[in-house]
Amino acid sequence: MQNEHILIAEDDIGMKTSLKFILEDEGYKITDVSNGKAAFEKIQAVCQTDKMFDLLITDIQMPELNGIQLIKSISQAGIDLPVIVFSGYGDKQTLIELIRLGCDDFLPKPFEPDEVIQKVRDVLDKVYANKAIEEKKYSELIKQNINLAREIDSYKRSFSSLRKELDTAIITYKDLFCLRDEGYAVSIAYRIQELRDLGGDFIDIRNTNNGCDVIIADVAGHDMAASYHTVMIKSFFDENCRTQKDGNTFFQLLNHSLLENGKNERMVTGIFLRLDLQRLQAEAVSAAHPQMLFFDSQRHLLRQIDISGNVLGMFKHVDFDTIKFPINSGDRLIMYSDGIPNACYVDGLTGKKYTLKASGVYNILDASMHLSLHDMIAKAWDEIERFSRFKQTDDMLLFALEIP
Amino acid sequence: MITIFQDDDYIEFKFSSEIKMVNKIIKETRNFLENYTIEEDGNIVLILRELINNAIEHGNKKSKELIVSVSITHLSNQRFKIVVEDEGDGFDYARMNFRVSNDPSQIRNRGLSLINSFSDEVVFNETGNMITVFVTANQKTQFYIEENNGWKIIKPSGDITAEEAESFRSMMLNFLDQSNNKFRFDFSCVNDVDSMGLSIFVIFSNIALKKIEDVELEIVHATQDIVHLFQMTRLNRIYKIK
Repeated sequence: MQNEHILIAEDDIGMKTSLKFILEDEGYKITDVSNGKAAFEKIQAVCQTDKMFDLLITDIQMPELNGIQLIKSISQAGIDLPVIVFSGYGDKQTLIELIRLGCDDFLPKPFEPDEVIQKVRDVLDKVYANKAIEEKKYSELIKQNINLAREIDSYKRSFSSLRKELDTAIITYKDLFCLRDEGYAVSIAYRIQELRDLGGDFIDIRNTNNGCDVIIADVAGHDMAASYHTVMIKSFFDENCRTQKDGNTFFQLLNHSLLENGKNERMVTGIFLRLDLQRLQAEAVSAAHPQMLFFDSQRHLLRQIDISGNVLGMFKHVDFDTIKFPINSGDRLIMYSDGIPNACYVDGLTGKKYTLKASGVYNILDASMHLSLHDMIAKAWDEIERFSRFKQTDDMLLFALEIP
Repeated sequence: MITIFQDDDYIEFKFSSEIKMVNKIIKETRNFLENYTIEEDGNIVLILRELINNAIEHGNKKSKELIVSVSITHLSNQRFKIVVEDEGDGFDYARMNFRVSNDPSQIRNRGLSLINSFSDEVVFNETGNMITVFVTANQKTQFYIEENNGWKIIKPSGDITAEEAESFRSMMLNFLDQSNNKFRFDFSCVNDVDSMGLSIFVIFSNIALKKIEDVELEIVHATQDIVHLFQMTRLNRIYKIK
């Protein structure tokens, strides 16, 4: 492409003509003026038309406006135009100033035609190369912006779907608690209070041919991951009620699944209890859950049933002890999540913290055992709330059942 | 009118029952609290505002000639005592409870429930016209870390529960990128570890055992309850309890 438009500013007619001749011969389009002022006027004029000169070749010594003044004016006007300067004499100071002004190259006077052609070509090529880089940068910037916009969009989308998911999770979590007050093989009473909308405490009971299966579980945390685990426990429990696998097998399967499918590592504790009301026998397995209490109605004795076992959802290899014990009509079993023994208050004057602990839960329950199942739970719950001065720090679940 | 008396670790205000006084008191209180290194204002301003509003509106029933007295005492470190007294007839505090209602539209008692939930203890005098509130400004557990003989020693300043879980978790996971293989947890100041806190110990040991050779995990100065908790969850097989 040899149609670049070059402006020549030179007061020496001989010099101007020979330069014009050489460059026109190379295919460049030439406009020529004989002083700086005329040059600047031309530049301003084409500035309006969008067809700026591709290059300016100017002399330093010119009437009206000299070369340096011309270059300053151009840069002050904010016009981007490559410049080659004739420097008839080697004034170092002038050269330095020219470089500072952004002059692209110099032509000695007198010049050789080949040298002129080469310099002009070099400067133009350099300019094109720079332009290409600029354009590339610009297009990359655009691309990045587009990517960014896309990313923001996708974040927005996933955020809103997350919101929806969360809302669904809250509903699902609430739906998980579909305990009725009646209709089970045993009578039950319970209180549950989540710390936040989403909780990790779970209790469920299902009638079986010989009695019922009960599960209590506590997933650490109060977020969607916790809720997700809770849903899994619920569906596994439902399935197990159908297949009637024993507690140990059930917990092994559940542990495996929690590890495989859990979105995040969450520790789960729980107790699985199977009541056989025909043979009057209870069978329980615990995954490191706060111990269950058993009220022996014949001896009027409340005692803790110690069962050892690993937590769920954390280790590949787990084992659980199975405890079997006889049950009789009127006996009660009480289970709770760790939010209950962890209920605490801080003494105002001393700042000392007091925690209810398993022993405190035992005492509260022991003192209410003479009441009906419902009143017992109501009274115990009230006392626990008062103990913690109505300041909850974790999900709290208290559940009791009575053998008919 | 308003009078202010200030002494070491103590500030007292007496002022007429006008709502416009509230902001003046709050401003002075903020200045007073600047003497102590507490985060934000540790809910003290929130509690104080509720208390003063109650005293002016419900206690003195906005009678300008009745006085509200407020005092704030710094007890220790992060702990403060706030006393607010009005000249009203008092109220039947015994009949109220601090249960925060689940129903967001319920506004009765909301102020006092709020005060209760941000403080350690709320005490009334017999008449019910003077309320004393004890506050711990910063209850968050800090984790102090030091190195000793190749052991990384982590000492929590308080309990490890759901509240601290996130910071504790990220701190522990950071350790895994460092070169230590011996970790000792000093439980001298820990009374409680809840299931969330415990799960972090499990997650940490799970990753540490996989990632670090010859990893040694130790727990020292644990209370009997916590030892029991670790035994019950069988974590004592992984963390040596000394």
